[in-house]
Amino acid sequence: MRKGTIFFGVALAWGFILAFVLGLVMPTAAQGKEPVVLKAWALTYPEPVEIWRVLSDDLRELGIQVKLRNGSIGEWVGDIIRKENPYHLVTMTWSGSPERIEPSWFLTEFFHSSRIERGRNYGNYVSKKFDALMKTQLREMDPEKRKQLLWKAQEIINRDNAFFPIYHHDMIQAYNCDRIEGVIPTMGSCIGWPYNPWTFFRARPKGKIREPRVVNRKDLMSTNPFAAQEAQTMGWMRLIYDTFAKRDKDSKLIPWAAESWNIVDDTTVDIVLRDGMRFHDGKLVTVEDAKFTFDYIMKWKFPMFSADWRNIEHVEIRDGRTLRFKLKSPYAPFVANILLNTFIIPKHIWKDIPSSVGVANPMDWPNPTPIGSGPYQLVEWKKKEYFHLKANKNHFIKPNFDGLYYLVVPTTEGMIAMLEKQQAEIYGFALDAVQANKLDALPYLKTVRVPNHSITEIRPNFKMRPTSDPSFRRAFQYAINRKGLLDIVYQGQGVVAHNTPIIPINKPWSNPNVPSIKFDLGKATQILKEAGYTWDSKGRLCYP
Amino acid sequence: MERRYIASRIAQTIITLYAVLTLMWVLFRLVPGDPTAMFLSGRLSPEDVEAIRKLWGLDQPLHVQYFKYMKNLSMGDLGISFSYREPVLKVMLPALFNTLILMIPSILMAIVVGTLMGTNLGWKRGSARERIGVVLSLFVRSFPVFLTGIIVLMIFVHLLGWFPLGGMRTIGAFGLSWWERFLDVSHHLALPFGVAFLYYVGDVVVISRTSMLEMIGEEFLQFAKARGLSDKKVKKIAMRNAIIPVITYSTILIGFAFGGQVLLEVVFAWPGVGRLMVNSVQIHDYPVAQAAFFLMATAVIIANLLVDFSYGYLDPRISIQKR
Repeated sequence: MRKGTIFFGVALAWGFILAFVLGLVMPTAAQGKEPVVLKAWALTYPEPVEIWRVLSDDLRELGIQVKLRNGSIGEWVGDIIRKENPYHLVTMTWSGSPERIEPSWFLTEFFHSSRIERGRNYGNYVSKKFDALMKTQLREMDPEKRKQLLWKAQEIINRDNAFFPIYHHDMIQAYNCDRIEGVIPTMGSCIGWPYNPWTFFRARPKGKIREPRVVNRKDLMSTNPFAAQEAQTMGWMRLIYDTFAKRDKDSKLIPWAAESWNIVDDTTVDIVLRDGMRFHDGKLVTVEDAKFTFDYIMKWKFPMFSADWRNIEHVEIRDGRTLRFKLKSPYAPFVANILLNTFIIPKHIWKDIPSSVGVANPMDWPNPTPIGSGPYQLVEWKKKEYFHLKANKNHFIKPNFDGLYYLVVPTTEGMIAMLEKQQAEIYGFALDAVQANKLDALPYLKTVRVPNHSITEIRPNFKMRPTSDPSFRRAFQYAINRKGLLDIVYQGQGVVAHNTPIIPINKPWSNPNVPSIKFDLGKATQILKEAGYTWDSKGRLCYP
Repeated sequence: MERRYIASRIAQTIITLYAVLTLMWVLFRLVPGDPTAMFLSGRLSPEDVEAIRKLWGLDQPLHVQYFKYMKNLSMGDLGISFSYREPVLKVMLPALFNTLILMIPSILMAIVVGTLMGTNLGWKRGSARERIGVVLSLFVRSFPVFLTGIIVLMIFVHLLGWFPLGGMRTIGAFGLSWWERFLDVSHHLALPFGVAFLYYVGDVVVISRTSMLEMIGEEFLQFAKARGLSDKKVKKIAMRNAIIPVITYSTILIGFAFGGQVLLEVVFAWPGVGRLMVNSVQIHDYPVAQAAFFLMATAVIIANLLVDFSYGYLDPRISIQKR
């Protein structure tokens, strides 16, 4: 008995050693042609895992082996962005946060050479012509000419197959139609996200509940608008503090706290402040407060505010309501990036911050009772539990709700149950198609589906073989079954991507001449063959 | 002698705590990933991210960061949370409070009920009641809390509608007196309390039963019987001696209570320290994660220390003088 066990153990150990040695020797023994093995990276979420399950099957047809590694967002930043990207292909879904509607955002962040070092261009794509176009468009204040430049930039990306876009999935949320009416879905925000919250401005309560409850998984992170670090918290802060511009329900830029803006010349912009706005503490919003805000941001160089605001030379008061901006150089997205994101803080509160509260940087002040001029005011925040906003009935938008409750529910099942049991009115997270159908079946619930400018894409690494080879990249495009993936992962809720990061409905910026590449393994094989790739006896694709 | 023992145990405890702190500090920095992840998935450019790293002191060499952390900690400063931008204690204390009002009552109840049940089962060794009792307690113990939680939710919330879905209180209820608020929180607490109780009670039953079984053959019990004491009185003597392992176990349980029950907190949307801990590890909020683990480790280690000290009192046979 004991002898038998020992013998078995020894045999097993020898087996392992033998297998290991063989594994080392075999590939080199088969000398000559080297087979293509791709190292891919994706998040440990169901969506990318599903994408790779389908994609690796199709790639196997082409004789391409894939080694997939799944990791966290932290790993993505630590290993791929901050260090030299060691993967051939990196998969990512980019959410539709509001600044990404601005057409140059994705193009610059994905493909500009300045974003290679520690930036989001971890595919190491370099094109001098593209870089030059991006620089020119940023300074082009005429929208029509700017559009032409951006279209050209997208053509270069298309020609070089600088990335493999897959789809833009729809955003689905739900609400209780017995209790709320007149919701206004917007691109990227749907009805429950605060980025472009027209539902919170215009929807009406139908019954007893005048302060609807929104469920979400994420908690607010801070009530200090300068410390707000992620998009949702920033969104809520911009409901409490008024920004100078906003997007309307069709994502067009419209005046908000600024009544109008006027581009005097390429580097001078005037804005006129809206009359009669008041902060939540009753004090009038003055042009002094507006100027103070810009000076404050420029003085403290808050990380969340520095990139775009660095372009401002100085700000001066022209008269009781007019503010003049002097820019260092012409800056096309001035309204979209600066006026849309800068909110007005009350000078009478912030002028002594941080010295009067005993911290070194204003970001370290919790700002427990934020006073802004926005359509909602924060009344209470219990971390990881809920926060409560009261409507500011003096605001020019005059919200119809009396307030909002935002409940933090850590699981999807919990959030869905809250709506089913009518313990919440608005589903503020993203639903998938199956969950949506389930909720739609209830008479008092309605789902809302809107296109989203988010994008799911795979980025090839230009510093590694074979993704550095233009023919290989072209062939790879044909191996992606975009429609099939959208059907499997999102039950077809969304649009397949064209060969540009800008969603086709983001008009006029998305270039309509850039095609969407159809799934065609035959074509992929042909391109690979023409480029000199061969297949070995086991059917593996080998380098030329 | 006694005093020297206590002093040396305390010294050991301090060294252990220091080792735990250092180990945690190292481990968190070994986890792949980067605390600035949340920014890079947002709008920030690389230069801005560098500015944030500088603000948080992450640009300094690791050993400098380590000494700074230890120095601040020794002055009672746990640092500022990366994500909330608030002192760690301010973030953690409310969550800890929420966790303790859930965990302490359920653990205490599990200990009292479990010990009574377990010692009784042990005393009635071989009876049908004992067999059923043991199987039942192993059964509830082997169910993971999230599963029990979901089943309980299905029955008492979805089917019967007796309890709220989750959370700690009814959102939107105003002007409640403290008594009404207490009732409201209790109403929300009932289900997670029940599930936690079920989870903990099984172990206590099994441990106290086993330890009771060991007592049965002891000479001092036979002597008690021989003295003509009633069965009830003999059982009492046996029980007093049998609870020592239970006490060891339960103090450690209470120590762990400071870390919360993540799964339970997630299923019942309870805003406790467990969720905070997991979340801060995920987003690399080092100050909060370290403080939370440190708190849990401290609680467990101190609980152990108290157990050691209490042995001498509970069982005079355990002595440290003749070592």
